[in-house]
Amino acid sequence: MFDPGELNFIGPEIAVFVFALLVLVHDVMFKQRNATISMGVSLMGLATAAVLNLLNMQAVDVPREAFAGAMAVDGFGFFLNFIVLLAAAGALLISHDFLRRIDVDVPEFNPLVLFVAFGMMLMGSANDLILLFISLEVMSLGVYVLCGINRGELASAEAALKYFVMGAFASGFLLMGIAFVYGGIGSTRISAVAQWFAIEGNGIAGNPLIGVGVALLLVGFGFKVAAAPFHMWTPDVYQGAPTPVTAFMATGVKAAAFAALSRVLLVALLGQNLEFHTALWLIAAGTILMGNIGALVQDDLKRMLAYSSIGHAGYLLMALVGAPAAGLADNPRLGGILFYLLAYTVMTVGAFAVLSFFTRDGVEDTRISRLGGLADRHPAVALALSICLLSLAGVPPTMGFVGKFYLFAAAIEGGAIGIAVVGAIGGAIGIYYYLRPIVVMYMHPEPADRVELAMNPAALGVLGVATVAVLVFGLVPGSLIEVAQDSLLSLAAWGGV
Amino acid sequence: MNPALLSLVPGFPLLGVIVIALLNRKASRVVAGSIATAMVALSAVLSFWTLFTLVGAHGELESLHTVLYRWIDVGGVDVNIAFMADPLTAVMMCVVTGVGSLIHLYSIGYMDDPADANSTWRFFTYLNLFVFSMLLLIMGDNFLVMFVGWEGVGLCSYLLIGFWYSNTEFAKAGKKAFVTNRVGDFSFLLGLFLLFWSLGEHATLQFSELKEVLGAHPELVGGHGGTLVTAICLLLFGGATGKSAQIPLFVWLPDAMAGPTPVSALIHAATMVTSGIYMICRLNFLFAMAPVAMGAVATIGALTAFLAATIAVSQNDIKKVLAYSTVSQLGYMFLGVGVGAFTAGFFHVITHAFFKALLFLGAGAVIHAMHHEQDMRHMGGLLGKMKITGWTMIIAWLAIIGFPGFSGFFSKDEILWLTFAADPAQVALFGPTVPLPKFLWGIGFITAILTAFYMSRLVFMTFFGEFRGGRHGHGDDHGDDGNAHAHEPHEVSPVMWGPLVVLAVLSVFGGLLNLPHWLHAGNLTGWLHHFLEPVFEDAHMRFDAAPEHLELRIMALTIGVVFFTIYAAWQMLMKNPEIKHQIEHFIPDFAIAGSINKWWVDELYEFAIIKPLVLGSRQVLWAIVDALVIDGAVNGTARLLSGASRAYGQRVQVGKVQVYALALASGAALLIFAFAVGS
Repeated sequence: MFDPGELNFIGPEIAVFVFALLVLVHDVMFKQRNATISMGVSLMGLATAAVLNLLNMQAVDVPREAFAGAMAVDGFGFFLNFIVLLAAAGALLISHDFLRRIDVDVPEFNPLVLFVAFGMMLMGSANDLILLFISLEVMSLGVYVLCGINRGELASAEAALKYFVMGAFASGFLLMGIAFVYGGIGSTRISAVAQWFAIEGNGIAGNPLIGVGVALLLVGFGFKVAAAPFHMWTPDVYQGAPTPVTAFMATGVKAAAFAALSRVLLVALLGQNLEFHTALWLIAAGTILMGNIGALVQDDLKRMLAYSSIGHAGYLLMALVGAPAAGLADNPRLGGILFYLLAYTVMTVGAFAVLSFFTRDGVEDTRISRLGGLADRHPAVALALSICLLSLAGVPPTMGFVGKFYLFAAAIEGGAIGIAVVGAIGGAIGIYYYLRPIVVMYMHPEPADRVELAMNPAALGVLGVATVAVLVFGLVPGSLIEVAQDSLLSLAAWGGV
Repeated sequence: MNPALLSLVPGFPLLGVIVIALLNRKASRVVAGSIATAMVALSAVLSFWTLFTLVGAHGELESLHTVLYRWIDVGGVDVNIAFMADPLTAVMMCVVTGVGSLIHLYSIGYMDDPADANSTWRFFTYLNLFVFSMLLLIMGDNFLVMFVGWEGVGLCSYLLIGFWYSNTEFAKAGKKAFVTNRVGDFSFLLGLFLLFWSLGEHATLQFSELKEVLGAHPELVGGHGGTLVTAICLLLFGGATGKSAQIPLFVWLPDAMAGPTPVSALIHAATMVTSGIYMICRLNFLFAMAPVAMGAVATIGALTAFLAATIAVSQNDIKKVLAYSTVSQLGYMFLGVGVGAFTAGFFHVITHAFFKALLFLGAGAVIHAMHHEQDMRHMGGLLGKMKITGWTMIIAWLAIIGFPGFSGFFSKDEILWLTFAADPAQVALFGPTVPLPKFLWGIGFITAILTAFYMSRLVFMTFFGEFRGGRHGHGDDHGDDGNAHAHEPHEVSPVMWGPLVVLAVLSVFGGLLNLPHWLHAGNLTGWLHHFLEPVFEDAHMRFDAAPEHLELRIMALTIGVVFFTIYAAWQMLMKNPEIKHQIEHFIPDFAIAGSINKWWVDELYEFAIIKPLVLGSRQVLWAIVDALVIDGAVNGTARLLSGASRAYGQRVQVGKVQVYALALASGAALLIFAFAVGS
């Protein structure tokens, strides 16, 4: 039954896993571990995975199942893999000098990042809710540890504990949801759920068992993507975790969780009844408003970005509200979801790369006021950060603008005008708090107790690449958009509708 | 030629912008200037290659086309960053990059004032940016790319007019140019929207598709002579009056002389100001459907030509004379395209680019030699001191007044003759039977006399007679080195007179491009006309097939009057000033005062438009609408939101896991209720 050839499809995952073990062995074996080698091997693992992923992408034209249906091999998964690999690489590069500065010398950091990436990649391709749950836990457990990696720092420990407690709580909901769905339908296969729904007369209505299951699934995913009202952990955890970890959480975790949620929604639940739609509508609206309003008065850039990441989850949910009941092909703009996840990853990693420069005596200090006079001292860094922030705000000609444009287009084409209006209001609020750091950088004087920025080549490289990418794909988004749209449309192969 | 190379034509100047801007102060005048010149020269090489490719194809190849990338694809709109080179574009490309590179070269010599040493990089960045924008404008295969260029040249014009922005007057001139152009741009945009809207499901922004759509469904815009197409064309022409300085928006061009003189030559004579004419030529198939709009174009053109010429006769600032002369010559071009003589109008664009760039660069050389003296009353006799500049300027003078054999003669004469011969039905501003063309010809004829007079005056006052210089103005600090000859004008450096010589050659021989048929010059007869035929053939313009001798008679009349005017000007200004006073005696006082005061147009606009606008904005819009209503609403919203944000942060987001868990559980309960119980 088992076809060894199918191992090809998890080539990227295997690569990341094996390289994680290599790094771990290296770091444990040598007392005086060489951080550069560790970093190099980790990055090599990510690069290998990327190459394998690219090969898979070219080899697989038609979506297919693998491992007895537990895994879906499709463009959607491939695209997500790239995002995850990018996020992991960004986080690793930012962390390289950062960890040394905050005096965290632990061998497990790089392997943990790789293990987490391993979990994330599986999440994007899981066709079985059980595999989905396990990969989600692989990811989450790693992230809990990463959050608390700076053991000496109270905020870091607090973040880890809060995330863990809340995460465990939410995981319970998710697992319960899976159980209910299984109880109602008799399968945990996402494509099987879709086929069941496709049968005339089957639906959430009249099947409270399945209804409860779907609701609980939404809670579990909602927690991971930081959707209201399951978002409240986000500011505390994002602020407390070390900056590179926050960057990884904001990008990789969010992308993987959102991918899993999208797969469940777009494959299994597409075309379900009105209550479902309304619930999603309310969650999206609440997320957009909570995120953007919460960010308004934050004085700490990291905390502000945490709220802003809630807002961005809201925009993505907004696009999902516009998912057509008649089938994905009706609304190709939904491909904007994948494009936006990528764009958000790029610009957020860029912004966090700058944040990682702000340490003083081994302690992070990311208050917005610290940015004063940055434009005079380091004009290039200030410009790059401004570009990333403007992209987050959705100002053309940046990647963020193009992505947001497609999200709104998806919602509007799907007939969800109301939620698009809410999104526009949220976007307008967002302009304010994204512009504030720029104003401080360019117009405010340096703080009296200025601290030299801890700039380092690795993080600067990340910043440079991110900034250029934000501009280039903002100006020439065409081909990337097409890949994203094709990738998303590959989900249609599973649909029962 | 591989069409993909077309992208490089605007690409090189853009590269120049980036490189020079990155080098900024590290690039000296010579370095920045050399880079900028080289970039435009490379574009010029490609442009000529393009032109020769099209010429060599002998009509087999209609146009080159390349798509750089897909820009926008939304709803029914699919816009590419794409370039197209048909004969019209190719000729224009050669003019822009050819004349442009000469002017770039000249600027290296001109911008040598030590006070500008730190900002010449900025100058050359803007110049390259301008060439880039202009190339977008002419090479874009659709309205959107054209519009980007359209706005881009406006921006560069603003930046360059206000290049010496520490001088408030100059900065204001830049602002005036920008605002005036924006008024035109607004009209242009409205025209564009109206056109796009009227096409409905056939909506397209691409020129070639538009031509096909209108050919197949003329009823979409109301058919030939329809109200809709007339409105569209008039609005588009409104945009042209801004860019090309026609009534009523010409007021910015004379003030634009505040910029460095090479800018005046490049932007305000040879290229940007011709974009309005280019646009109408590009859309000839559209304008041909609206005889009323064509009549308006021709009439406005003729009136502008005349009005500007009457102002030019009394100006004493050498650049002001040239500025009004530019406005006047642009009027001729509009007259030409307005009566349907697209080739003739465009021909004049080309020849004018040669001799007007030469005139401005020559004037720049004079100003440079005279240490920023621009008043012709303090010049005179410069021919002896600046032989090359002087003789090239004399060539340009002969070209612009239409001296037989020079380039301007052929182009202007063709416009005047075709105006005379145009079918009144296609210039139907006042109805199809009113002999408007004959009347417009009359205005054009009188303007030719005025042109001959003011240009002769300029040349006589500057280069002949006695040197009246030596006035100690702001040039004083130059003389402190004790050098008694510091103020003595002398010939400029080769990097400056080189371009003058090239342009002089072009000004003499430019007419070869389109020789009139009565010369029986074989293949050269109407070469431009034949080359551009594929572009204009669908416009179906009709001209009176009058016997040849009538054309020759009208031409002879013009030549005779022009000769007489030169002679009269020489007598009046140089030989016998008494005559001048006697003649002035005959002219009504208000006409003289009107000419000197530019017919009070600026004052009229100030009084009728700007004052009420400022007053209304300040008293009503600012004080009440903005400060009370809008600011109130904005600040109120902001206060409400930040209050909400603060309340949320302090009351809800308190950092307690219990609260978070409660929120999560409540959300879960609501969802379960909605899904299970509710359904």
